[in-house]
Amino acid sequence: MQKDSPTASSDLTKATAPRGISFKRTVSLIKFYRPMIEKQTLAYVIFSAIAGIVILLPLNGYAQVGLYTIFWTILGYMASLSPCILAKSGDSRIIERLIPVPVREKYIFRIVYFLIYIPIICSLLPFCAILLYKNMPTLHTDMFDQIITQVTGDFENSLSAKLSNLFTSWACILTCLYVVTLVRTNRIIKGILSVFGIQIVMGTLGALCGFSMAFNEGFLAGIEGTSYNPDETTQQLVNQVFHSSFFYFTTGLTILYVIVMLILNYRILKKHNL
Amino acid sequence: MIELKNIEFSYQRKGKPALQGITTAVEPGIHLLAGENGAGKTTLLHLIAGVSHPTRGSIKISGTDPASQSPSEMGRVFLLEETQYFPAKSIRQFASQHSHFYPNFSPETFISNLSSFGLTGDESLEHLSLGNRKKSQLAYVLALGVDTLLLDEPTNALDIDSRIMLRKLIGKSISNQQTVIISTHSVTEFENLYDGALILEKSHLIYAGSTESTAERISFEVSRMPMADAIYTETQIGRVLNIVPAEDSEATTAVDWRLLYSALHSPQRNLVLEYLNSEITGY
Repeated sequence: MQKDSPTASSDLTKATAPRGISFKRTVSLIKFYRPMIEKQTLAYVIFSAIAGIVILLPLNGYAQVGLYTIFWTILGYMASLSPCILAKSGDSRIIERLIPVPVREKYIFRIVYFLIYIPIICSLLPFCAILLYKNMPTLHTDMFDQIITQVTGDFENSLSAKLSNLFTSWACILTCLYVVTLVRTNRIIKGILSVFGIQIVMGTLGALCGFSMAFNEGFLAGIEGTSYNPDETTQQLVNQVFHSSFFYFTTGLTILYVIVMLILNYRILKKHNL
Repeated sequence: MIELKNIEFSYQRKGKPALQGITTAVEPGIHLLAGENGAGKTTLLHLIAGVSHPTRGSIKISGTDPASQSPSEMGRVFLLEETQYFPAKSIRQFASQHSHFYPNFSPETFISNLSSFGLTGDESLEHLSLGNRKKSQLAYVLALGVDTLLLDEPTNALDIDSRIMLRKLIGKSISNQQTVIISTHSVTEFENLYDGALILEKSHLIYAGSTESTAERISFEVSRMPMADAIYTETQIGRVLNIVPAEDSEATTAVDWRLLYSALHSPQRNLVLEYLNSEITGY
């Protein structure tokens, strides 16, 4: 038989004060996830840099718009589906559950990593490229200009647009994270499908928002008592959407969904029977 | 010590319980957890590890509920499932990212265990066969030095030599203060190592006893013909295995857990239990 008394403890396994967080344990948790995090970070930063470079390429307007749309869509999905990395090595939920770290710290790590770190590395470089584009007149094409103006206008002017974009992204990420943690088999596929599902729901809400505005503002063919203004620009139309009452309602609903998913993601770490 | 009090667990709210009325105490040592398919062995291990929560009842490991997930207690328990994924490229990489949570982890024991299994630890876990992956994992968990080690079917996928080696490593790696519960259908694999056993049947605990207390009450004899005073017999080619009351035996015999398991799943179960005379509340 081996040595006696395996009852030693370390700084990592000592309980801290009820509201305290152990920096050492956080670092250890990061070390545990490092193989996953490193690969994901590297892949995301590379793609994000490519997206940024593409925005700055001196192409014709159609190509710029097309590439911008493709890359920004892919970046969105990269963020939304990022929790699938937890399922890459099969069902490691038991191992993760057994790590002697309080649930609170595991949860905070996940939230910071997936809701803050990942969206930043996905969007920071392309957004810097967008700001650079605005200041480089030689790259401008009329068609791409409209889109860039709208994108930067959203962030510079409209709180509702900022909130909507942010919480929509978080809603997708949290849904994927919840499903990947909940299910035992086919975790990646189910995570992907859950993101598609929530996007369908949000898209439907957006469509309802549009229909609501169309009925309020009037159609081209005319509804008695309404007017059609042919001189409205894209930005004006977007501003109308972002300041409509229905849009505030859908944004509020999205925020509520995010709060619910934050709670469910904590509960599943704490109480779910694996 | 692991204390289970009136444990009940169901996977679904209105479903049939996977475990019912489990009450026992498990002292430090190596213990067999046996039962038929669906008896609740894996469920019980999950409850002890704290990855599931009992519907009713309480579990305490050294006085603490494992489901509370306090770091000091979680650092003392580890569960190796039958099929478990370690999120790392190799077992050495996993050890480097995981072992610092377990202060009693012994790198020397880990390396020695790997060597005993004929592995270096640098093999890609993804490309290893199921058996070799299992050996890597066992080499690691046996070096963790946790107070409570739970192994679910550890010999599955292992070849004969590896099973023999695992038996040696368990005997060598586990200290007197550690509790190891081995859930297995291969009851004979570690027979002489067991300090006790828990036997489940259809979600109930039908027997829990130490090797010592079991041997004090019944003996296991081999004869050509069924013995007259046997309370259970099993005929094999050329011999008969008997369970007899200990007072009728000349000397204390080693406990044949496989035979006892068969007896407890036979029509003579009640008679066997009567002789065992052990309350299913503790050892």
